[in-house]
Amino acid sequence: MNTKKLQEISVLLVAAVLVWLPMGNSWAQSEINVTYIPQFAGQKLSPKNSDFSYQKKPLKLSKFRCYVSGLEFLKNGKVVWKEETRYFLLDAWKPNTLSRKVSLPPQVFYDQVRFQIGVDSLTNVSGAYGGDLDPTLGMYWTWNSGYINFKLEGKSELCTTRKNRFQYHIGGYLPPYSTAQSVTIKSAPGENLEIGIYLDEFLSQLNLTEEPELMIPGQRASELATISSQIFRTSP
Amino acid sequence: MAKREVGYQIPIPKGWPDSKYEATLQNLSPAKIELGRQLFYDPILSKDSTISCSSCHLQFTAFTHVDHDLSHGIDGRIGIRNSPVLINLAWSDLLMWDGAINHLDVQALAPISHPDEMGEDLPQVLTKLQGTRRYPQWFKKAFGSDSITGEHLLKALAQFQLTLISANSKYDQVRRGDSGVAFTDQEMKGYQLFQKHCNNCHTEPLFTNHQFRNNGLPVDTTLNDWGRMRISQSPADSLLFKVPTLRNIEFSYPYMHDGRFENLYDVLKHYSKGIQAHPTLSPELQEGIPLSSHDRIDLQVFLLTLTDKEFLFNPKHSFPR
Repeated sequence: MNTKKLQEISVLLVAAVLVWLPMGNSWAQSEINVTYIPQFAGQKLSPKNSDFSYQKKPLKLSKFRCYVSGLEFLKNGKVVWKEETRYFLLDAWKPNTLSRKVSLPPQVFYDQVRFQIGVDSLTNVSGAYGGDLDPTLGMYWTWNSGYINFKLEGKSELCTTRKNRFQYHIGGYLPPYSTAQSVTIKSAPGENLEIGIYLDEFLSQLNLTEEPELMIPGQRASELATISSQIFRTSP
Repeated sequence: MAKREVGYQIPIPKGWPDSKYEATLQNLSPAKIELGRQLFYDPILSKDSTISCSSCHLQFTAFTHVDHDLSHGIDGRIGIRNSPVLINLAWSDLLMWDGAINHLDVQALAPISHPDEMGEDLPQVLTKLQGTRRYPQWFKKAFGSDSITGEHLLKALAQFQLTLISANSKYDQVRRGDSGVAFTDQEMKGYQLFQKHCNNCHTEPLFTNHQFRNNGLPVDTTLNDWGRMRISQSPADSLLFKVPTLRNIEFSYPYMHDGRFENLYDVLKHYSKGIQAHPTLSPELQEGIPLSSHDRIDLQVFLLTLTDKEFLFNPKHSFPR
């Protein structure tokens, strides 16, 4: 074999390795970003941007928090991989709670992602937990055991309450009025998940003047929980 | 890294049913119990540092308060209920008179935050405890971290309360067959009356069936407390309250959820002559309990055998000195 031939073979080998390396990476563990984006009427909600307009009147949001858990990756409706169950408390006033990285093992092919909003009934009856589930974080009722799954508070002139406040604390784990919800969205391997939370759509499903607050479990909480699950979807 | 503490078990009275907290009882921690005891007796948990858990739950009165019908809180505020006894809570299912609380771990949240009780903001409690010299050390000893969390605060209080087991009354000694202990004739007559008329709800050996009942009390219109219905929102639960244990009843007066009866004589008179009809009235009480005046005395004499002085004066449960 002459030198020229060896050089040609070496070039081919290097090229093959260069082509193969990225292919190989696609079979290795992958990492995606999961980001929740609370927003109101097309604007992102943040500590610096919480004043909006709603039904032609000013509206100020002062709190938005909710629990999410259990990312599951599905292919043709079947779970192909799921995260270890862990609860995350999203808080629009703490932007670092709204995004995280998720590492998937190799060769996980999926077309949908499913997650839960709220805390399941077993956790609700099993005593005190730490971390994001610490009962002193303001997401646990004290007069009646159970987590608040979804909390939205603010002010609007549409409300005739003291200081024009509205407060929705959606929770309750006892059937038939359990409030934990499941949300499924389309996705594909390698895609980051950007999940919009369209809070104005939640308010539009109720009458802010006639129903400015709900802070107990029950049938209405269960109905509002269903509405709350419909406002989570991937950004258009 | 803190050394992992080895748990220990509390002896469970023979013949008692399984507790709701079996796993925890199998692995109690002396450091957590001691921390819980310190917290239980410390008014730092209240907004103005005047009210501790023990303000309404005094050991020598069966871990409830006497002297007044309704519980007192900060700033002289008065609640709507008589504080319940803290006895054998490991066997208790739903807690509070209306069953609002589903686990002993999270029970303390209610009195700490209620404006008519301790009135304190929960994160503020943690900040105050963290700012002391002693509590971070005690939390570290109990939980391996001196960073004080709500979870650890609540679990310590729960572990202490799980140790409040009363099982050495004369009734228990007779039941165990302890030598030299026997019911008198009158106590035995009272016991037979109890088994016939009371045991269905105040079921031995815990002297409660852990259920909710309307025991025929007319509603106090100054309080309008409808009991369990407040939690379940079901009219079927109107005027239902938790059946309390009768253990140490000699010292847990006044009686009923609103403390309306000051003595056992009035309680038994209510059951024999004062039952008020209501759609949710407990079926056992539809006709009242037929008790003669002699029966009522015999029954009272039996109820006094439920006093457990070892429990009421056990230094392990007392104010930490």
